[in-house]
Amino acid sequence: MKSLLNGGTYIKKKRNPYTNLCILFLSFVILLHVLTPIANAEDSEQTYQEKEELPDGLIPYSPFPKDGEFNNFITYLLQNPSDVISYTRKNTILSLGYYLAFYKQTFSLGAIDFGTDTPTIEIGYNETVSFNIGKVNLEEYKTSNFDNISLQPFIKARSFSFIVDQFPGNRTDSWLIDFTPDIVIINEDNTKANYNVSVTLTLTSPPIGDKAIQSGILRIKQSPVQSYGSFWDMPFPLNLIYTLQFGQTSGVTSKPDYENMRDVEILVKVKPYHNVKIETPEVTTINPNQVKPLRIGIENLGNYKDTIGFKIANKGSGITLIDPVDITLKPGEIKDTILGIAAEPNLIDYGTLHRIRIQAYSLDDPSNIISEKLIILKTEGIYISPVTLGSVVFSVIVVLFVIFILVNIYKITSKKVFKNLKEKLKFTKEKRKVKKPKKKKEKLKESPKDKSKKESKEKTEKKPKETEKKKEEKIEKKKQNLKAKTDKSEINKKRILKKIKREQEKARKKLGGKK
Amino acid sequence: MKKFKFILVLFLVLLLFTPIVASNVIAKDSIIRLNQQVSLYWDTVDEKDPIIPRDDLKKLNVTFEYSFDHGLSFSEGLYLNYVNYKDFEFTQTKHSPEGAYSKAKIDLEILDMPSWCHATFRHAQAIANLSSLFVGKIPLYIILDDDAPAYEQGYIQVKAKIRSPPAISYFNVFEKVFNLTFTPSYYPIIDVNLPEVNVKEIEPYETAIFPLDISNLGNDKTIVTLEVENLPNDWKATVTDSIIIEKNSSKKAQLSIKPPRNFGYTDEVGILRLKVTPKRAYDTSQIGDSLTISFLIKNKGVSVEGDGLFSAISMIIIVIIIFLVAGLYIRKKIKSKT
Repeated sequence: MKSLLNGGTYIKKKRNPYTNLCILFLSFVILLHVLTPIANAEDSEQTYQEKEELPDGLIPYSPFPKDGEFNNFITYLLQNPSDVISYTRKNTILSLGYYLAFYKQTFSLGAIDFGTDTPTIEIGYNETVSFNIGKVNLEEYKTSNFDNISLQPFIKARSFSFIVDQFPGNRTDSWLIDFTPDIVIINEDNTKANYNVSVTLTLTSPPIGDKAIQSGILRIKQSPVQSYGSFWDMPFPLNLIYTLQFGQTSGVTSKPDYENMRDVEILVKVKPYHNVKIETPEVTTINPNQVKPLRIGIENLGNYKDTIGFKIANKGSGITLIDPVDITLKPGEIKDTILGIAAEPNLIDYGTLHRIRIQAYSLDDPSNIISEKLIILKTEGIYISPVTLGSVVFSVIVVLFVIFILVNIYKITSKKVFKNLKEKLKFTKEKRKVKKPKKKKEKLKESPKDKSKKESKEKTEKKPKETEKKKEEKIEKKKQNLKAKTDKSEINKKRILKKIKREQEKARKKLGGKK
Repeated sequence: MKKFKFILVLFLVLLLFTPIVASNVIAKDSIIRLNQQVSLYWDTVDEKDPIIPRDDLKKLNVTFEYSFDHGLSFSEGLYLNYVNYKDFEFTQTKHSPEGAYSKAKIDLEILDMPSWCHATFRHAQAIANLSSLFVGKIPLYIILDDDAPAYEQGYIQVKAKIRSPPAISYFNVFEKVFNLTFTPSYYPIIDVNLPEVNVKEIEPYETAIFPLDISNLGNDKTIVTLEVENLPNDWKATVTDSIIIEKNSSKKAQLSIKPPRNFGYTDEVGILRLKVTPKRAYDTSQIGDSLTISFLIKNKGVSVEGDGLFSAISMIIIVIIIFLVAGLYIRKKIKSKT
């Protein structure tokens, strides 16, 4: 440029003597490197590494020499120039590596490692669990707040927001998550401010059918965003060139860097949720002395395979019940269990209602009743058992038999009594006949009334004798009539037989004549 | 003259870089060589302990072995900077491990695991000192679903990646996939299905037969033992003692109940319980929860044989004799009176 400005003539500049001196020194250093055997360099390096100590009198090399160390270094250089040459060569290269690493570290942005102190949480349905997330101190595996996050040069602010990448069970509609604060902003003013990000996780809805939520991973992602300052004002434009984003990034807030995202994974153990739905018929009628199985529908509303047991809280009276059968159900599965009922053999039941409370529990936790249902049973009807029927028949027979016996006994006894009475009467009458008239004749004369009585009595005594005679006569007449009738019928029979015989003979004769 | 200068500069440049290249590339393998690697394995104690599905949230320690070596001077300079750039000293022995970039960060990512397994590391990163060998432990939490196959080897495929702290680094990026194996424990679940009901009415000379369908919903081959409890006096019950059921399959068993045979009319209700217990087929000491099934049998009807036949016949004979004697006596009496 200068040559063009000076009218197109090339003006040769004289070299500065200091420049020549520098070139000479540089050449000397280079020559030292060249002249020094390669093997020696390797050997020396190995020896340093093995011994882990420096040769006597050699001070550890540092690019930041402390006070006094430099003078010692010079004295050692003067005394042992060959050692110092090889040593210097090595350390020159070492320093190159050191500063290159320093440079790159300074101008590179690293993602912040964040995590939580609660890598596992246990949560149940309708429960809320809180935990903190923050910057991780990996040496102690502990989480700290988002503080002391240094801002690299040219970056004015950084922010971190959080998104959930995966919920346990891969269902988003059952989970509720809240980050407080939603976003962490670190700028030049508050790099040392404490940011305690509290996460509240709630499992909201109960299990729905076979899509029940079980244990799984909760993955939270951190999305860092950085805002760059104006690069044009920076004193080191070379650094800006190094970033190769001079124009693009100056004063720009970057988009979330998803590639460099770090995520935190939390193992969520979803507690077993035991619940069932019991479905029963409204009213079940059972006859006396009948046994009946009652099917009860059970739906598993829990989130795991569950074995459900049953209890009957109030068994009532008049019926015998057995506990329903234990069943195992998958989440959302519906199956029937059977309640066995036996009604007592009541003769007549006009309709008795029995309230039976069935309680369901999980075999995992038998003390906790998870569901309850009232079943109404109605016992109604008539029942005559063969035993009662037989006993009734038997008792009737016995009663009849007893009555028969009693009647007979009564009859026998009554006949005896009558006879005895008759005999007594006869005896008394005879006695009276014999004794009384004599006394009366002796003491009193008979009155006209007595006379009439006696006459009437005599008449009555005579009358039966007459009637008996008449009866006998009648009977004899009837006998005679019957005999006469039988005689007549026999005569008729003989006549008829004779007629038949005659006809038969006539017929024979006719037949004989024809022949 | 210009050419001479150019050649001289070129010569000098070559002289400058040749030994560096030569000392590193020829003697070793590259100019910049910061090699690091890591290996993962279980604690031997943890590996042997089976994990109970569903209930057991297991914490297992994963041991990681980090090893590091570096090349010659230039690499060592880089290394020393990473070790501790604040208090940089020549030797490794004198540097302090504290510092911004003194640790190697190992990213641990779970690539694959069975669908019935859920696992996560305590932190997604582990750190190791930049030393020739560093051994550390990081917890891994595992929970298994109840269908995890018992005593079959499960695996967790973990990718370990070591990145240098800065975005642009001279470290080699080490990446390797490891398989960590574990064993699920036995988790017994059975279900008993009654094709017929558990309530029956039978005649005195009949036997009540209840077929049972027993399903193995657990995670291993299971022996199911059946035991009758609360059997009423004089009742007899016969049940299939035990059956072996494969995983996710079912088998049939049978319970036969015979009431006592009493002469005459009987009307009684018998209630008994059947206890069904699952055990692991290969190790019967591992027992699951027992299921209880109640049965109700009504024994109703007339029997012309059985216990009490003699007494009943004798009773009938006595009654008949009484009737006859009474009848004869009465008849005699009547006759005598007539």
